Amino acid sequence: MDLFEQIERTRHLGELFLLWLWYHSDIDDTIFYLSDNSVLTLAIDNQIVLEAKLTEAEKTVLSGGAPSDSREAFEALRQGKCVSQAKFRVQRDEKEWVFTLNGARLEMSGLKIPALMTKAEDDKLYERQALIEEIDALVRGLYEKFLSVRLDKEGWKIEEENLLDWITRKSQGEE
Amino acid sequence: MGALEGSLTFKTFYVNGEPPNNFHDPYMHALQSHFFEPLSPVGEEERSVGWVPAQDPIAEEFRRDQLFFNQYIVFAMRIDKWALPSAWVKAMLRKALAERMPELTPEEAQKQKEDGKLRPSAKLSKREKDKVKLEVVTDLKHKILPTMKVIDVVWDINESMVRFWSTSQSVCDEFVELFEATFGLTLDADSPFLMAKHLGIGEKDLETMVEADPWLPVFEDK
Repeated sequence: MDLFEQIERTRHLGELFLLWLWYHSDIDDTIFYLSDNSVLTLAIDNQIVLEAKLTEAEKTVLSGGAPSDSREAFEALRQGKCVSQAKFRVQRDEKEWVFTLNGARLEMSGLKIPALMTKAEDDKLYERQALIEEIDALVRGLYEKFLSVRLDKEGWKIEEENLLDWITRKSQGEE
Repeated sequence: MGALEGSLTFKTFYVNGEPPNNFHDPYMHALQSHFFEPLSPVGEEERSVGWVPAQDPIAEEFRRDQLFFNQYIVFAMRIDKWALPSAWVKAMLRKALAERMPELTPEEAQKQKEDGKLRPSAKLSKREKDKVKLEVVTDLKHKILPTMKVIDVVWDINESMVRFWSTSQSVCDEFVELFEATFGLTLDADSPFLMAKHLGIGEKDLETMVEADPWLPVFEDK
């Protein structure tokens, strides 16, 4: 199998990663621990896009308020829709980033970074890059953690049951 | 924009291959040889694409201190194209064609007055019309500037990663092509598979990823 095919066949894992982030953000009270023991908080912000892949062009865009708590979002999951993109708010060490992450491409858009402290042009470039790289590394760290669960046969079996239970409970309006 | 200020929407690419030792001079030369060439009102090109300094997109050449920042190479892709206002083209063309219409003989003019139909000699050939249109378009191009799009590029040499401040598929495809032509190195856009590979996920797990089916949850009706 060539690289192109490998890339195309695994795009769905990026979308599952977004669902996994949503699930853990909800059940773990937004707190995530990375493999280097660093801690961050991650919450879904004000937008989630859910898409049906098997039927044609069925898209649910939920924005404003707290879409990740809405029954509509969980109903869409129950109908088999996957999370194609979501807006996240991440905090670590008094720094905050807000961005939209596309699942199939793991592409960041509309990234808002913490305010820059430097004034000189060259320093601004370095600081801006450092803040972009920091959030990039955090997302990669979370993805690595997701993969460690998804690629572990037994671990994923348990996680999958928990996910199904969570979606069912939430779609019925339970906390 | 994006690397230095403004919106932060970008696509990440992995660079396949290593830059040469002491890459500064050869890469500056490579970028200069694919420098942006401005469009000319009398030229045939409707669009032009090339590299420019991210800090000064209307500069005529690169300066070393604008390009290299420790492990980063910072530059921008500039895309100019003519976007002529169609209402102006239409109005100016109608006027120019009317002015070029050949004169009718008195008999033809009389007949035309009677039946309202244009006589053959009062029509311009397609070739003549095309010539008039070209003149109108060229005249208009002298009066307006092409549209300009500048998209920043940051290449982290240490990480072999490039960030390109656009997610438009067609623009990204053009960027990849120009990058490869400039540096002789290929690029792969980030994706769930490549991110896993670059995280150091082992071959066996990568195979498991490829074999995994999309998650299709089955719910028991309650």
